[in-house]
Amino acid sequence: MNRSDILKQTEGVLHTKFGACFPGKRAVMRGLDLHTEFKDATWMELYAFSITGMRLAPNQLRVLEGLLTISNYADMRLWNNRVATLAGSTRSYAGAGLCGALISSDTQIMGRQVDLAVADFLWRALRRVQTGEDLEAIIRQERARKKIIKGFGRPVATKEVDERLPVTIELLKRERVPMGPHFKLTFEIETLLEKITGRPLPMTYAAIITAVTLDMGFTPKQCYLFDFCVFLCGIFPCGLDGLERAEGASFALSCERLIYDGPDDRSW
Amino acid sequence: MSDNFGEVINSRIWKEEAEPDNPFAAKTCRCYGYDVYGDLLPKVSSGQASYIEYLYLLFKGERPEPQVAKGLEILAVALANPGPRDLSVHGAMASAVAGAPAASVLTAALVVGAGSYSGGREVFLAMQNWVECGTDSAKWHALLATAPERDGGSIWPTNEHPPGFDPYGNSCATPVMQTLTQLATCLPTGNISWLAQNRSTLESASNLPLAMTGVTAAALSDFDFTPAAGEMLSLLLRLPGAAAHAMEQWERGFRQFPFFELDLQNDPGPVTTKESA
Repeated sequence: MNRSDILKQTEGVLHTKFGACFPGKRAVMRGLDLHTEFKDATWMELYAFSITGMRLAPNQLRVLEGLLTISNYADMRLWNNRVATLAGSTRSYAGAGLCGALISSDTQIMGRQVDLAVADFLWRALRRVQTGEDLEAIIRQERARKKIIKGFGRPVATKEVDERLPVTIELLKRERVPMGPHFKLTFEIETLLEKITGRPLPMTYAAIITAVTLDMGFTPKQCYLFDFCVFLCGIFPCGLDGLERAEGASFALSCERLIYDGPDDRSW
Repeated sequence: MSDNFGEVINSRIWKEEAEPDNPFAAKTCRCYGYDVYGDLLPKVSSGQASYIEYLYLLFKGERPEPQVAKGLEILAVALANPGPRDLSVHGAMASAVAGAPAASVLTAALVVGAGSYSGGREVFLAMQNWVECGTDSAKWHALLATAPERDGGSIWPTNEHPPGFDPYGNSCATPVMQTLTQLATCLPTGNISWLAQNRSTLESASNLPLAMTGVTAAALSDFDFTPAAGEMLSLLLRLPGAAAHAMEQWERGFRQFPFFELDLQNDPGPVTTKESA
């Protein structure tokens, strides 16, 4: 068989188990009829189902909704939010500003890249600990391999406890969702990291939200997808802010605030 | 916030001098020292400078040697339009045919064209291989015999084929060969020339034919671009075709555009609720 035959086999008809719509009739997602199976469901139930295929319990869904609520910071200085504000300022369309802000949330110092990195580490570390390995040795190995363990130590307020930690613990208590092994592990990692590095590196919200969702049965990649909406409600006001101010008048910079340190003037 | 952040933008690329009557309007703009509007534009008008040279300057900080400028122009033409069957162009057309604005269309092309299958990520990874292996055959053979490392903590899916090679190719496609030949003729020393001479060997080692991403990566590494810069530039250079095809399909209308057939393998079928029964 030629390699091109692999593509030939998929040409024309797309085989899928993820869903389809039948206009005028019905819609199916992951094998369930959308309009009957989810007619009484909350958006959060469908959101979690669309990512994981799991139907979670109402108290778990309220925890998930809480997790997606408490991290919407309407501060237009934040780099992803700033994209929405700038798009509003240039009188771009809202969808572009929102999209730009969302895809600018997959960053290395915050947001999605950190979420997935810490979720992956928590996932691997817990399974190794459960087979009897020493957590401190696991952490030291990870630090040797990747230099830092993402999800511990914020780029801002590095040494301070994340303000969303007590809110999350209260949320779990209120909804009677027990703290699971991944979340417990984050506390142990935090303690050991301080011992290893000699400085406090408190868990960030990336570690918190992914630990809780891992404990609900999400895989690391599913945690990453779930967190897609975690900043969304903070982005809307930032976009509107840019739109309400005079056009082009957000984050204004005069020429003198551009400091040049390149080659001297020269002729082409 | 408690942390200290800068209050200015620092740049080694761009220098501005304000108009006397407006601190927010630039009177002169210099790119790496060259006066873009006062000096470069007249030189472009007189044929002493070109867009492609300016593009190189922006990325590298220096004017290119004539052969490098010619090589970059060859690459820019080769990449400008992957054609409407290319997945990134398909993304742009799908966006446009439904009536999305231009920025959505180009964003669709960028996000679909970003990946490790025929996209910017593949160019980045292939360029990393050039950094690692250079023109050392033994290193290439060792690298191509090694399965990619899986990193579950990366947002990028694990690479499914050696970057720079075509996982669905039966032989090296003619446009890839033609591009390789032109670039190797223009740049007779360096990676692209070595690739032209050793293509068959590398194809045997990878068990796959060379792809356009592989040619792109070799050429960009000859231009001394970093993998990150090469990824950026390859994304940029592929946009013109996406834009043109997207506008064409918008004009033709969505009913002429393929919608494809789905085979839903776990269809529960029509469901009747008790209330409506």
